[in-house]
Amino acid sequence: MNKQGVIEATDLVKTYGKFTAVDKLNLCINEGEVFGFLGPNGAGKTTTILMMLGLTEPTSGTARICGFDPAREPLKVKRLTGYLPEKVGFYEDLTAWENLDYTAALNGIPRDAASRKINELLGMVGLSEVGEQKVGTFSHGMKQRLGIADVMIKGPKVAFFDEPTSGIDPEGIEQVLNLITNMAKQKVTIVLSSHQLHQVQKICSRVGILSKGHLVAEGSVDQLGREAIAGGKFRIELQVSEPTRKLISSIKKIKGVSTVESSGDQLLISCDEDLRPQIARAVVDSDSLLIQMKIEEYGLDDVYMKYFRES
Amino acid sequence: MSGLMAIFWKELADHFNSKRFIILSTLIYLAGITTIYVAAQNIRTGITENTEFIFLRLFIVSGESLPFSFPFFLSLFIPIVGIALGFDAVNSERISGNLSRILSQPLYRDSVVNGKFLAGLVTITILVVSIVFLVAGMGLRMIGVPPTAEEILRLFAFIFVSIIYGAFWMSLAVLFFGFLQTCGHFGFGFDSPVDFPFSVYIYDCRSYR
Repeated sequence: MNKQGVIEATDLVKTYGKFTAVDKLNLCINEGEVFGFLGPNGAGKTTTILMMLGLTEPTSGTARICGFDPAREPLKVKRLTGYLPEKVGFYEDLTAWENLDYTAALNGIPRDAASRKINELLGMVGLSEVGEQKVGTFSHGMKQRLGIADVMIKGPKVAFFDEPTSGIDPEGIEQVLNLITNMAKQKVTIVLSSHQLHQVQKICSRVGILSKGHLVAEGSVDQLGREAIAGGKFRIELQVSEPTRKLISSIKKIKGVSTVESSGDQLLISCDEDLRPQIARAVVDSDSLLIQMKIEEYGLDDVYMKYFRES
Repeated sequence: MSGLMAIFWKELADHFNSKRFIILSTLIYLAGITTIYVAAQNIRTGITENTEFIFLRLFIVSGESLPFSFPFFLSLFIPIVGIALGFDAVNSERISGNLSRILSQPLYRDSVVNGKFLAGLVTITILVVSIVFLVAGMGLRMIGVPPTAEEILRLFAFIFVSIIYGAFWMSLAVLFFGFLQTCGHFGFGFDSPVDFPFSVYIYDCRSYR
């Protein structure tokens, strides 16, 4: 890889006594990516995030955030990264505004700059009107959005979200995911961990599946689906009026097609790349009529189930 | 450094707003005033034989109705205040979910503990200085004998030692309650993956296993 990743992990290992939480994890995440960590509870997602943040030291191996080692230069890393923990808490007897002001002070942001930034961020996460209310009165979804403002206040290059959508209602989830997507548009690299697959699928450009501390799969959702289920092939389902032998053999001749199975008026074609245009032409050129054609899409559910059945 | 000061000011404000502290300090003020009142009533009996340190004797004389002197009360209450200020300094942050958020900000882990300790120290200082001055002023009004320079010096020495005494109990509380929480985690296994690493690294008792 010639381009240096914003986040790099090399052989990261973390053990607690005899228990290995993370085992030889290798990872490279580029700028502006939204990377999703998937895995059941206790797979090592949080531990990995903590090691990347410098909040816990790896037993062996190294992590690098923008070229800094979190174990050796934690302050430099913490200046560049924002972290929204799973069970995020705020000072309940302070207002939303005061809570953000405290974070700004911890980051050494000057007063007036902080106050402008806080107002702007509260507007962004839709909490302007309740900015002067005590956080104790907030709903879980509101606290989560305040958490996102809290992460944004230092203008991070990398943001880690640990289960950002757990325990909030569908509308709240939508808002949180939109905010995260907007952050990604501002060139912030995002790592989020979740076991809610549908959401991850919606916003992540790449996912990594963790199981018992191992990174068992990594790539885009589509790519993972093809590798896991169809052995890296595209599968195209074709329905035609008359599946003649001539048609089948002409489809087989298309470069990249590996197998064609027919059952009734259905043809199941597996090929190395998306050959729908070529197949459509073959059908049109034959006497047959095209009824429908679709490419099989893989959901994370399938991928996830596949990996966890294996492990 | 800015992080340490931010924590210091926040904690100081928290102490003076917390109900626990307000109740405790009210109790101490009341006890202090009572002892000095009783002392002022009984001080005349002893003065005839010995006229040295009359002003200071105000602090140590006790009466029949209340057989405790001011230093005795202070020595009883200061550890309570110290422990009250220190015992959940770190645990409350962890339980409320603030700790991991604070630790991901650009400051050293020590700064969190140091900032809290400093805030507690200043709180104890304010409390001790104010009560001694209050009591001294009251005594001055009641018996009308001004303190000599030596008496003032001794009074300040007493204040200084009292503050150290309070700070000792506070740091002991921070240490022990920290250990209790950590060892609890070792005992139960790790019920929460977030809490576990923090408890190990804040108190750094990795050798414990």
